[in-house]
Amino acid sequence: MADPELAREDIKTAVTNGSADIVIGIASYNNARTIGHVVRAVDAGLAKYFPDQRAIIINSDGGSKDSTPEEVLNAKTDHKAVFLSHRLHPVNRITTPYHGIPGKGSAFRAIFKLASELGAKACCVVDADLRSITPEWIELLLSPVFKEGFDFVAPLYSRHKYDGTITNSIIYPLTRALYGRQIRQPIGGDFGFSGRMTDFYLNQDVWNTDIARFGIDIWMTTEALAGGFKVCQSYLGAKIHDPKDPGSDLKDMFVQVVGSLMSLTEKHHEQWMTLAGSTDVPTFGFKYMAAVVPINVNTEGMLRHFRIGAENLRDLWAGFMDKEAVSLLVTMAREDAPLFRFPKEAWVRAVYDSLLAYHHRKLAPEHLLKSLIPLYYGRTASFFLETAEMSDEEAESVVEEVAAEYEKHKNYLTANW
Amino acid sequence: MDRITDQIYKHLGTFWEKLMEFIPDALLIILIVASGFIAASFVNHIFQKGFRAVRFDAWSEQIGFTTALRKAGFSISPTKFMGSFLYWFVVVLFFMAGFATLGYEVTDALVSVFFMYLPRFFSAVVIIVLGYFIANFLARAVLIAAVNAGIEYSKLVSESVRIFLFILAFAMALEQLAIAPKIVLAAFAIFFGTIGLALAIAFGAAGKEYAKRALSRLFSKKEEDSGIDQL
Repeated sequence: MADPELAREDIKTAVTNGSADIVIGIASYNNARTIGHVVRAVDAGLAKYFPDQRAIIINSDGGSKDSTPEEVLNAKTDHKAVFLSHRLHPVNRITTPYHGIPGKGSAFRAIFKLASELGAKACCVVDADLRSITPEWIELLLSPVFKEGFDFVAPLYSRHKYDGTITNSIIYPLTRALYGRQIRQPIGGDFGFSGRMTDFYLNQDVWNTDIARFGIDIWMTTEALAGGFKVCQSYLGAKIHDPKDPGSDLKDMFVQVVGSLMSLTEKHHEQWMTLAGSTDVPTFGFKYMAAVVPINVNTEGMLRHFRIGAENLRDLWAGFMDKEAVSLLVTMAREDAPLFRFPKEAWVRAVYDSLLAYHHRKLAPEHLLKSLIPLYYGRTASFFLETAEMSDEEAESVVEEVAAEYEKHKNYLTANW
Repeated sequence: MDRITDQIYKHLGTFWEKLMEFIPDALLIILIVASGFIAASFVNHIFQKGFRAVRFDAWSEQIGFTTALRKAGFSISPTKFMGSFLYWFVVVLFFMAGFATLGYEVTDALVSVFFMYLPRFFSAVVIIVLGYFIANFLARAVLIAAVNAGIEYSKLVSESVRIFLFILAFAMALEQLAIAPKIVLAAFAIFFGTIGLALAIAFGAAGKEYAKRALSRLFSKKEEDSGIDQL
C-alpha cells in the first residue's frame, strides 16, 4: 500500500519499475461514503481480469474534508470472495491532491499525467460516488483497449427514463448528429482509453477552461470522435450513485457541459460539416434488464421556470431565434401542465439557433448558455409529461426520435454556419 | 447742423475703415470654414470606408450599438452615424480655427475655452458610451440570473439595474462636463437616497412574508435537485 503522505515526484518510484500497464483513475471530492466500495470493486476487477498486468489505482482528490483519502488506502478486498487466490503483481494505490482549477477535469489531468509518466497501455476513470460498480466494469472498460485495440471506450448504462436529462435532450443527440457516431452516454463519466489517447489528452491546452470542470467528459468523448480514434462503448448495467451534492448547481453544470460542447463544435467544424447521418459504434458487454432507481420529478416546478423564461427572455431569444419560433415558445408557455408539449422540432431548432448564435457571437457565451436553461426546463418537462405512462424502453424510443430529428435538420446548421 | 454731418461722416469713415479691415478676416474665415467642409467630407469618406472594411455595422449590431441608435431616434447605420459625427466635429474644429485667426480678445478667449473643454467633452462621451454598454450588459446578466432564480418580475429587476447604472453614468458625464456639479451631486444623493429608503421601508413592512416564502422555496428546490442526475 502507498503512503498517504507520498510526494508527487516519488509516485513513479513507488510503482514497480517506475512503470505500469494499467492505470485506474478515481476523481473524488468528499466521497468517503462510497469510494471504499469503488476501490474494492476496481481492485477485485484488476485481480480477476488482469492478474498479470502491473496496475495502479490513482485517487486524484480535490481536497476532501472527510476521510476520502484514508478510505482509498484502507479499503480491503477479499479476493476469495471473487474466487481468486493470488495475483502476480500487487496493485498499488495512490491518493494525491491535484492542482489547478478545482474540478473533475483538473483531477483527470493529474491522472493523465501520471498515466503518461508511467507509460500505461490502458487507463480507465470511474466516478467516486458509484454504488453499482462491480469488478466487471473494469474488464468492460479496459478489455476493448487491451484486447481489441480500441482507443476510447464510452460507458453504456441502464438508466431510469428521467435520469440524465441533459444527456438525453442535448448531449447525446447533438454529438450523434455532429460526429455521426451513436455513443449513448457521451458524458457518462466512466471511460476506458489507450495510452495513445492519454498522451493526446495531456497535450491539449484546455486546462484553464470549463473543460477543467464538468466539461471534461464531453471533451474526452468529442476529441476521441473528432480525432478519428477507434471508439466503442461497453454495457455496464445500471448506474446508481450517491445523491448529488445539493450544493452542486445545475446552472453551473449546464453552462460548463453545454458550453464545452459548443466550443468543441466551433473547434471541429471542419470535421462535422461534411458528415450526414450516423452509425452505431461497436458495443461490448452483455445487455440485461437491470433494475434502476425510480426518480420523482417536479414537472410543475420545471414548467414554472420555463414560463418565467418565456415571459422575461423572449426579447433576448429573439436576438438569435426567428420571431415565429419565439412566438411559438411564448404561446406554448401558456398551456397547462397535462397538455403542455414542447415539440421536438422546436427544441432542435432552438438548440441549433443557439449554436449558431454562439458561433456568430450574437451574445456573450455565458448569457447565451444561461438563457437556454429555461428552454431546457421546458423541453424536459414536456418529455416527462409525454413519457409519464411509458416504460423506460418506450421512453428511450422518444429519445431516439429526438436524435433522429437532430440529424434530419443538421443541414440547417451547416447552411447557416 | 454741419457739426452733426461731420460727426456722421467721421463715424461712417471709421466704420468703413473697420469694415475694410474686417473683410479680409471674414474672407479668411469663410475660406477656412469652406476648406473645413471639404476636409470634413474627406474625413467622413475615409472613415466610412474604414468602418465598412472592419465591418463596424455588424460589430455594432452584436454589441447593441445599432439598437441604441434606433432607440435614440437615429435611423441611419452606425457607420453613417460615426461618419456624420466626425464630419461635424471637423467642421466645428475648422470654424473655431477660423475664429482664432481674428486675434480679438473675445474670440481668443472663446477658442481657448472651446479647446480646453474638448478633453472634458470626449471624457463625457466615453463615460456615456461605456456606461450604456456596461448598463446593458449587467442588466442582461441580472435578467438571466433572476429568471434562473425563478423570480417572476425579472424584467422589472433588470430594468431597474439598467436605469440605475445609466443615471449613474449620466451623472458622471455631467460632472465631467462641469455642468452644475453641486446640483447633480445633490440630486443624485436625494434621488437614490429616497429610493433606498423607500425600498427598505417597503421590504421591512411588506416583504417579510415574501422573503420567508422565497427562502423556503430556495431550500425546497435544493432538496428537489438532489433527486435527479441531469447529466
